[in-house]
Amino acid sequence: MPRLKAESRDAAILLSPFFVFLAVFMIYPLIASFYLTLNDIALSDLKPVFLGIGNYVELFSDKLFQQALLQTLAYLTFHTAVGVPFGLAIALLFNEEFRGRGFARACLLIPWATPPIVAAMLMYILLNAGFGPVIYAFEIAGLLPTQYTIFGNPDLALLGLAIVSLWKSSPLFAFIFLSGLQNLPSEVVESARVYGASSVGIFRRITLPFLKPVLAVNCILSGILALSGTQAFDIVIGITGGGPGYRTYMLYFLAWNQAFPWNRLGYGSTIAYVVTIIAVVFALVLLRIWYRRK
Amino acid sequence: MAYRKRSLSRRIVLYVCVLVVLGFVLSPYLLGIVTSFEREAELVGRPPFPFKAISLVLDNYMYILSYEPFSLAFLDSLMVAVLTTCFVMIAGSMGAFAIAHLRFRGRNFLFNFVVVVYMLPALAMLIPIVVLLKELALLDTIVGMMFAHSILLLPLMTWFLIGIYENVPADILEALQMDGTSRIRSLFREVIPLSRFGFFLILVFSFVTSWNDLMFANTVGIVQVKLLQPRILEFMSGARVLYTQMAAAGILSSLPVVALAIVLQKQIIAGIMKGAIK
Amino acid sequence: MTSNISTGKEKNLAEQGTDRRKFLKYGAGVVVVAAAAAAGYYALQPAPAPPTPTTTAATTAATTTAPPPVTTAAPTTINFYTTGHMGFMYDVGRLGWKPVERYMAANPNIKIKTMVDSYFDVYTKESTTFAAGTYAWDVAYTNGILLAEFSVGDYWTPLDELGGVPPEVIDDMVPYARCASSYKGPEGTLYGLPRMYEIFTLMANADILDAKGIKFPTSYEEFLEACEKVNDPKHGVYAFEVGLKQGYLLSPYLCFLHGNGGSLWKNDNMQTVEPDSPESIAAVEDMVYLFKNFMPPSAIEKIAFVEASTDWYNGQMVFGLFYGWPTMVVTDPTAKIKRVYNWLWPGKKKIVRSASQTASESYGVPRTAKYKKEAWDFIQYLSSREVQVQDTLGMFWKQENEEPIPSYWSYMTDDRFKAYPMNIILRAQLAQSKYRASRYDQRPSYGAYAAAIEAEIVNALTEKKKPADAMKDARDACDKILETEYAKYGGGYWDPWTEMQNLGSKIDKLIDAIPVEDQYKFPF
Repeated sequence: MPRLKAESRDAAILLSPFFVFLAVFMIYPLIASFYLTLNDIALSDLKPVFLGIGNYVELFSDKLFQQALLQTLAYLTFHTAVGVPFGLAIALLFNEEFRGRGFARACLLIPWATPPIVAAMLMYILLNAGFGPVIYAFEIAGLLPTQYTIFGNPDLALLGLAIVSLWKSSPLFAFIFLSGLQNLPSEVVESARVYGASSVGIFRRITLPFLKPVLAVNCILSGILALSGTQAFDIVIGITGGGPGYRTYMLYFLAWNQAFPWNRLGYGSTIAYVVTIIAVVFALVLLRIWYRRK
Repeated sequence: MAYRKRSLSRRIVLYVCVLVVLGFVLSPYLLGIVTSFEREAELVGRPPFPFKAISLVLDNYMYILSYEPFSLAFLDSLMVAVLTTCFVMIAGSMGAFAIAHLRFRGRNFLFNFVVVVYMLPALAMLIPIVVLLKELALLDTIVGMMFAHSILLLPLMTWFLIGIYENVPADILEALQMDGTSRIRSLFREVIPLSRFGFFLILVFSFVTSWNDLMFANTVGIVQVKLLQPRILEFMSGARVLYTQMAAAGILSSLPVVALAIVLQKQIIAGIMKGAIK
Repeated sequence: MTSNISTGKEKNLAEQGTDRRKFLKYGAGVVVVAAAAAAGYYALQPAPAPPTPTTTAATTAATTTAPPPVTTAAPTTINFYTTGHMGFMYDVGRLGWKPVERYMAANPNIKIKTMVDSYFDVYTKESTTFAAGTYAWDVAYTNGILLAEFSVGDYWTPLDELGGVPPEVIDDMVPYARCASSYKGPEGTLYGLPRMYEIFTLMANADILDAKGIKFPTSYEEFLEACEKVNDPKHGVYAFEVGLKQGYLLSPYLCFLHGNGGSLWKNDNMQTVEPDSPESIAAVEDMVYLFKNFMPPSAIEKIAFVEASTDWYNGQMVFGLFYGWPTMVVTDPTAKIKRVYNWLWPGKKKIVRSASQTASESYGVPRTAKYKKEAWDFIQYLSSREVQVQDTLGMFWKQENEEPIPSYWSYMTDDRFKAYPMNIILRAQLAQSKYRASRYDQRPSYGAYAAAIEAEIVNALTEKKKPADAMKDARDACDKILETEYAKYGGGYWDPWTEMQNLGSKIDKLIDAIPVEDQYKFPF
């Protein structure tokens, strides 16, 4: 089949930079870091001590790991189950006609474009107990005691971080939903209305199914951001540093923490691998749901 | 889109909702702008800003703009972001075209592989990458940083590009091939112009991701290459956290990416519409 | 015109199954190939090269007042790595940069390229860079923990190899400062020359104390009484404030611990870390009590004193516990505090007093440095009387530059320190030096066990656990963390307190040599 051969040859040429880059800069480091997880090794002296699966075994009895795992799953669930619908709601709202719609849509990109540590700092200034206007507003309204702390409260700190990442992510989801909604032909909606369908009905029967692919993409994106993206790390390190106690430790942060400040590179890499597995499972599950509904 | 007449009360509700949402989205950033013009003593003294009058000063910006390393870091970040964007667009386009339109063994596998590879957390690979770059004599260089950032971007951008290219009708390609044009020539002649909207999406996404990165910027850049985000982290040194100056630095460093996203927002929407997200 | 190219989204389940199998097959293939490549790569790694000793030339002593003479003839650029809080924050006009400029002016063929990073970043940056083995800096910032961990990997050059330090200079170093520049000293190796030294003291808003007729407290019990009288949250004034956020909490905790007569390390040959000693539990209980009754609730979100320093400036607190520099607030005409007291942190009655915490940092020469001779000259210069005195004079309440007191005894009675408030800071820091201190960061695992203890202290402060339970959990965590350290390194870390105890009369003489008005003389 000469045509297939020619296409294969062309494909090889076109794919070469991509493939070489992948092999050198992604596959190789991944394998190398897997090798790290099989050892106890410190950056400060780089002398590996072979452990086999010792790190993985230790992981299962590590209480801090278990706590971080639960907190990560809670964070991930909130980020997706609240963030994505919230983004959808914003998108539906901004899909309506009103003056300044273009400006409003453009604003949706600001939280995503803002550098993560800057975003963390800005949200801290907004929400902190000492001089944050939000707490003060509640205080003079009599709804909260003086200098009520969110990030210093073990029960609320994780929720506080979740809200920060909600601010950072939901507008992005909204933007992506909006782009998807652009494709929805208005005639379909109009004719449905003419036939007497309610807004809720239109949403359930027409809009939502149409947005399924976009919904899936947003959910996957949410998972990745919450597990190993900037939401998982920069925000934690910028605001709470894992505290109070260990209440805002999440897996990605724990991995970095073990690898660097605690000087256990092997163990840290192990945790990072576990994060990978969770991310892959999350994505595969979502893809499965999406494919099946089709 | 047909214009639907709405009752006044519904319009009021609509505008109120829009304002609430805009308030949520913009308030941290706006507060940051105000903070960057505040004096530190006034920022920390209760009551906080909207509840008291403050005097606005330019000191914070003067401080930062006169600090040469900050400007150098700004330029370095700019260079790295531009290079990364170019690399990702070129390598990604070529690969995506091959996967989208050519048939070869392992094509389907590669498609799935691209998606999965995107999941891999950069942290797990950080140390091997640093050692690898050092072996290639690329540690602490602009090119090395470009490769590091591309790790975060290439899989996802290629995935987007596959979706974009798939929307190019196959008949056009068929017609070209019957003319005897090679696949690669057809890529440049037809496919890219038809999918130019997608490129804006890639451009913005790559630029923003590279610009905002902290982890690689911190470890791959040591002496020669100092990027902007670690510079901002400097404000959180052990002996001080000057929020007003940090706000000024933060606003300054976010200006390019915010401007880029806003200016190109129409193109981004078009890019997503044209099927980058499938 | 429909596309007949199969795209990902149009697969049905059967095709997906095939794809998955192919995926696994190819995936396995890739993994095998890459694993072989990685194995080959690691197998081919050469063993690390042994360190090459540098040729040593006669060098000038560290206590000269003039910058050292020109060293090499050829123009050289030295890379100098330091942290923001060592005087090198954004304002290039401020103190940290000036000694560098003077040095370059005196040595026209030497250019010093200064690189600044956040204090929180130094550890990660240095560990990654040293591990990669790449040349980055000729002179680099170091402190206790960086030395302890990196000495094991032989990342720093011992000063003996660069020229050594004369015994009279070593004697002149404050032992607490020397401790931070060496690993397992005093017989241990010196890796850096201390750039700074500072120690926690208690400072108080003198205007408020005098207005209410309250004496500066000389015991912890008196301190609590004073807090009771000055605490006024309704008007936004709190009796006491210090940052209680994790990351910098061990330092004040150590004050409370020592003030109870305790110690973080047990006096056995392993120097076992025991956060669950009775004195330690009492210390945490004291902190909880203070936080609940006399501190602003937002303190739990703040780092050390650096975030509270603006509260101090705004007159929102009466007592502060930190290094001496916030006392300089009185030099700012717009500050709400006009006079301040600064003296010892009071321990409990009947306990040997002090209870304090010390910090010292230094500059060392990494193994990968290129210009070791020039680096050594520059470090000695930074350690000189002129530079350290100038740095101290640059003390400012905002602490953009952490300019503490000098780290050599003989510099401390410089004539320029004799005016208020510099003199009361020096005297307080000297007096405090007579008592047990140290940050315990001379051992490799300090970062890890400090974090574990801090996390539990916060659990106690937020009332998630009782202090006794929290400290018990801290002990368990420490035992686990230190298991490897005990096995690998043994104990034997230097406790500079043993040497400091012999220096009481020397310190008293120095204190007497710094004059101060009577109202600032407090009973010991």
